[in-house]
Amino acid sequence: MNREVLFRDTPGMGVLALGNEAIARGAIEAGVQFVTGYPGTPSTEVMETLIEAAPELGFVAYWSVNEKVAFDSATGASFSNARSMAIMKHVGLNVAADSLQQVKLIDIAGGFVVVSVDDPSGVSSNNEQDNRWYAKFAGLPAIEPADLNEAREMAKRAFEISEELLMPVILRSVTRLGHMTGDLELGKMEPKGQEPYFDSSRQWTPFPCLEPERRLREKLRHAGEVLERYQFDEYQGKGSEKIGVVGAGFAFNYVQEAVDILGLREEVALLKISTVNPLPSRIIHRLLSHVNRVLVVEDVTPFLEEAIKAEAQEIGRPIQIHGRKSGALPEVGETILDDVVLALADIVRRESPDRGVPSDAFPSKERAERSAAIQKLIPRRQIGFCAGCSHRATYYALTKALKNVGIEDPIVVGDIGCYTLGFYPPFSILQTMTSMGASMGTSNALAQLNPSRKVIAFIGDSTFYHAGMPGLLQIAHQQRPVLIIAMDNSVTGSTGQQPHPGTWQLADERTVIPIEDIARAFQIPHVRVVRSLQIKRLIKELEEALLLDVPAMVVSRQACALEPGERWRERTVVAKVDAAKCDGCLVCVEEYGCPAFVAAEDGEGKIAVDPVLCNGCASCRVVCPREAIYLERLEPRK
Amino acid sequence: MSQEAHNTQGPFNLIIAGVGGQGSIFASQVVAHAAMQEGFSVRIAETYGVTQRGGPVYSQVRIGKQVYGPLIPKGRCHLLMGLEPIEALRRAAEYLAPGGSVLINTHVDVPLETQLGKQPELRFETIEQELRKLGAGELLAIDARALAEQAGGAGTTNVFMLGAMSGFEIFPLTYESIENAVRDTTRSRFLQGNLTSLNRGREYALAVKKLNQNK
Repeated sequence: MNREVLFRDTPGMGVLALGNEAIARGAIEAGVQFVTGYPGTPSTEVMETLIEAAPELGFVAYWSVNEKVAFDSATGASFSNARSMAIMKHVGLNVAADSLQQVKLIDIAGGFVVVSVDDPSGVSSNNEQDNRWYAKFAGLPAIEPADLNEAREMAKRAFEISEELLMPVILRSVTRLGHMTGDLELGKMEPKGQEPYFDSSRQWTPFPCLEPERRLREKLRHAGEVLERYQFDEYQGKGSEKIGVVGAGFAFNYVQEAVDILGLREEVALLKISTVNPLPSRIIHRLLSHVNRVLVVEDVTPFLEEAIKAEAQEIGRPIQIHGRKSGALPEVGETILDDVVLALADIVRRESPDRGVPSDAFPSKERAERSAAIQKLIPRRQIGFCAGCSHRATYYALTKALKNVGIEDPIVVGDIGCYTLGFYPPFSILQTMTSMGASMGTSNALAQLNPSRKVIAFIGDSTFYHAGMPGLLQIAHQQRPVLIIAMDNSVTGSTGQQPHPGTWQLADERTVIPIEDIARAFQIPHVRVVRSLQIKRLIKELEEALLLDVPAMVVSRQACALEPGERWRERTVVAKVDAAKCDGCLVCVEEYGCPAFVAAEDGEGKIAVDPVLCNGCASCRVVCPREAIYLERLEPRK
Repeated sequence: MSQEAHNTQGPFNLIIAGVGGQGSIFASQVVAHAAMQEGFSVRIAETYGVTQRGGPVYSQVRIGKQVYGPLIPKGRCHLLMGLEPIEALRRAAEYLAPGGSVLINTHVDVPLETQLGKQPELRFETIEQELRKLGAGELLAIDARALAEQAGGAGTTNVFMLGAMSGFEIFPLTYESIENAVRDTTRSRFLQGNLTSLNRGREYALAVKKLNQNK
């Protein structure tokens, strides 16, 4: 999408934008001076937009190696009196949390905004994690937008709030907003702040700790008044309704639509809560003063439900609070509209048993049964590696190498990235995977406690730089005989091919630090680098490394097939299957599983290569036992 | 559904379903641009990231005077555009409104496990039958992949189907605004191919309609 419209000072103009782009626009309107972050779905596009805007608008923007480095860098910028922003996905804040818990205690200078995009249902994550608790845990102000215009406005205002309170402000968003496209109205771009300057007359540390801890609590008490001025929260009601429905940030959309579907506009009071911390008690009490029942709609955990329940107890009148904790809404998983409609209809029935709900509010029982029956007919569609992906070649080579050297019970450790697909067919080879960089420390212990078995750890390039290096140092220090296979595709692949310190495509502009140089500096005794798609050589290297009794690293290197240089590379060859040689054994599909392999149209169970899907990587020739796969040269495009 | 009707009954809900890489996101962006040109509010929900590679993907697009969230309630999808028929049925089962229109590509992308014989095949005829049983209003099946290949290239199936969607008049936005939106959103290198497929898609639909009227 053309993002340039987001970089111009055209207030009032309507543009089509992603939620993440709206947050970026808010930062631009605030005159942000320094932004950094680490890529992670669903937060990535905030940073990508700002990186695109930076040269034109003259601020600093770059990807950091991990979220802690990003947070610490944004801290340095804020200490230099620059408006700064650190951007990450929910789990990224875990990595930065050590610093967050210190910086909260310091009177910062330039406005400091931490963007945390949570991933309800773990659409692109291992966990659901509700980072509103971080705000409460740290004692920092936090806000969450309900729509695109609020995302822009709140990102902008967060800098002012941060400067007024002298503390970082957390902007919480969710996948559904970040990856929603819609119409956004642009606001005015404020003039850029002063030249950054670091004031050496102050001490920028929370020491000794009790005085800063006291001050933090004071500031947080004051934060309530400051946030109230911005009127991020909204009450819609007459003051006589018996039912109240509360939506936290983006979830308020579901509240509004559910109320419309059930025709309850005139009968229920609505409350949008966008202030996460401190809780906006006054407006909550306004609702609680007249209702008997409240439904709280929010993503991930009953954060607000619990808080409202506590507030309700102060009222001294029994008020039923419904939500994820009470069982009115599912305990886990993203909030979806249909669940809100059902929950609200149920509450209406309890409060006014005579009040019917429209018959078309939800699908009929018959329809629900038919849907379920159809779902049973529909085949699973396993996700897999892209055509031309180097990870497929690497997993294939390891499978063959293990067989060739006779290792039957290896322990295979995975890490975070596209290569976690190694858990699924056709490879199904990974056995553990936890957090970024964890493969190193985990394999270190597995090798120590399972000395009779070979331990193999897979780690991607970006993950290695992010949090793998300390673990590798541990393996090296203890000389544990782990075989580390670095899946180096030169970019942070799964989030959209962002650069990192090993991105050789940027060698003209930046210092590139290859993984193998680090491994050698760490005194890993055996380090080899192989091109992933040269499968025969890769198998040989892996065979050799598997038999060693010392730490070994094989760097399997090939640019991500979606990296721009690769993606737009003109194909010179395309794979073909010689139908005379193919006997339909399906070894290619079972052992390699490239999405370009399809059933041949002759209907005899033979395989063909889809010429549209084939990316011409040429790696699949070696997988056919009948040597039926060959390459056909393509005419150069005119 | 006519434009007047959808304005009074909440947003017009469109789902574009397919397999990762078929361009469902691009198609939804085109529709959104077209809707904005016509002064509508629009919301799109889609899944990004590693989840999409070769896997099932779908975009939900909502167009109207006022739209809240991007998620379409179950059984309220007015138009389903299936870039791949299995994926179309997967979403129709959950979302298709009674009498909702379906436009599907007949080219089945056979899942890996089916190729391996590990799960039964779902044939196109069965998909059609099930869509009818779900109460689809218009059910239009076209060999969009082959037709697009002859028009703007195999990579333009998504745009060919947008053209057909417009030609079949199952969609509340004008062909002109869709064409403008394609111009606004396509990289220059692919523009000619996309415009060719869009136009051929529309012409194809118009020809089919005429043929059916004469029957």
